[in-house]
Amino acid sequence: MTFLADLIQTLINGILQGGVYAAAAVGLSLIFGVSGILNAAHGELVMLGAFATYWLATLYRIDPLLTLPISFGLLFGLGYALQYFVLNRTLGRPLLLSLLVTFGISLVLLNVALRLWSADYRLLRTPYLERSFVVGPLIVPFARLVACVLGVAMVAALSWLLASTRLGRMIRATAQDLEMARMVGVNPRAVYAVTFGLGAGVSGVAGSLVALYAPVEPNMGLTYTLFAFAVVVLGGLGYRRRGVGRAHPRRRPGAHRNLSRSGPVIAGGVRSALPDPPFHAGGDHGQGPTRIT
Amino acid sequence: MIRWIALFALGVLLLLPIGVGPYPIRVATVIFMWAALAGSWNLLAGYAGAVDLGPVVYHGIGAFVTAALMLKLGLPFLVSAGLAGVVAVAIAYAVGTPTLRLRGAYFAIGTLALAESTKQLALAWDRLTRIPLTGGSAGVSLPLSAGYVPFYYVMLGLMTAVTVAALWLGGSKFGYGLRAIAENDRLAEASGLDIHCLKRRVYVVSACVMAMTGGTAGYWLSYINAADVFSASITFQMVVMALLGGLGTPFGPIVGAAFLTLVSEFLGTRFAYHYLIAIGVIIVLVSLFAPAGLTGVLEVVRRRREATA
Repeated sequence: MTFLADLIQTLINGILQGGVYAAAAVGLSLIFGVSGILNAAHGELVMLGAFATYWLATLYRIDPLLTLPISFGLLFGLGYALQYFVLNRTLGRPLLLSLLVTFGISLVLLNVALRLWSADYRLLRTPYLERSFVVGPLIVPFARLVACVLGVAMVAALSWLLASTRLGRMIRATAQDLEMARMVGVNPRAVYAVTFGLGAGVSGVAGSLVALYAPVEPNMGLTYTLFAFAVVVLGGLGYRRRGVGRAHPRRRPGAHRNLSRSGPVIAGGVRSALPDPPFHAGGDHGQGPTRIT
Repeated sequence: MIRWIALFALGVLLLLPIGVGPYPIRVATVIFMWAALAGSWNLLAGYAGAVDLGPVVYHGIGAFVTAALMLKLGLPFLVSAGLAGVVAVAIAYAVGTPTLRLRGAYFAIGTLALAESTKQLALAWDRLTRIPLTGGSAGVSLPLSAGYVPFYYVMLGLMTAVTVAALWLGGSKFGYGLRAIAENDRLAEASGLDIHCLKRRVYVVSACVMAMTGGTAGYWLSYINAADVFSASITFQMVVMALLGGLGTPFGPIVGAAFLTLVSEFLGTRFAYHYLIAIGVIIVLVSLFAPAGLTGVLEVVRRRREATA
């Protein structure tokens, strides 16, 4: 009996965690699918979002849930500026160059954060989130439930934005066929900047959701970069590489489960671009690292 | 011309421990270690175009196998490191057979995930198998080593081996095959190359060198733990050094490793809290303004001089 309860509890934890992971991964997937940039600074964006919520709630006494839009706005601005001023210069160059540039950016962001806020762990205390629903032997922490629901809602909102708005059509068009998008008057550089802004904003909100229930610290980023990479593989390749995920049997069930939730986003336009990111001209897309010229 | 300079430099490096004190030798050993790692990564990524983001797997395996052979069987260090290379070859063959079929970014992300799961496996190994090998998160202590000069020579040897291999790839039929794969793997396959076999050979060789380097580094530090020797930051550092120096060039990884190590050493002693910010900025600037790497800059300068002369 306790075994069954443990199993269900594990599933619940996995699902709750998975909603947040889906939110934390979808930004990387979006940016990679549209601009062909493998963003090594992804986790640092999550970290900055977490700190945005922490400081806004601690210093200005803003309710943590109300900081989510602010976190989105701040990270959107940062992402837009990064793409506009730095990453747009790597367009037309191989995949690895964007990885190198974003790695440099991640070093800068991480160490600026360490310098400003030190390596201390900081936990946000929100009394009304610190309750749990207890059903028999099962426990559902309220903060995690809120984080999961909001994460999934955000992924759904992004999916809607890509599927049904003018901006979404422009982004999808750029991802699908750059030349044609240009022909009909889309400015790819602006679209890439907005896309990176959106991806960064969504990652920032995911960080804010993490800050609702877990301590934040500058070094938390790398974990989220790796998780997001893994989720992109699982989401992008379907379920074929499921075996890779078995390293974390405790946490991964959630990630799998919620991939189907991020699936629509990926499938809704971005996915078609995933196997062949644009801009890696040459025989094989995404494979020309010897030709960094 | 450049080969003669390299040969001369090798001669100087062989005699260096006679003339200078411990500190420069240790810094040089660090440079050689990273040059060997970045160089063996470069063999696959630079020549065959397969971007591996999980090479640290073989670094870690090499460290633990070397440690286990030295501690459990009492084998001498060099034999252990060599056997660690052999083990890595076997594992790389088994792992490379399925993973090398992935293409482009999927290979990169797949290998990254592989490295992370290997790290978790190594952390949990002792608990899962009841065979004490990795020491869990506590790690393994190795016997204290005699002096620092042997490591200098081992690392120098590994770096030299990788560089010779890269030079050989530059002019051999095998190397042309790899570059055909990098440029257009479907066309290469259609022209009759067994691309899978070619890539796997390079993968196995680079795994072997990384394992020996990892084993040497572990013995040098005399303490290893799974979180450190399988750390993704080692992968990133290899990749960054190879790219900074110049991908697909024989001397690029050495230049990149020397540049990044010396800059870190120089800035790190003066601005302990800020130097990583500066290094991040340097990486961004170099990749934006010298996308072919530092050796690429030299190449451009050389061509320009030839054009004016």
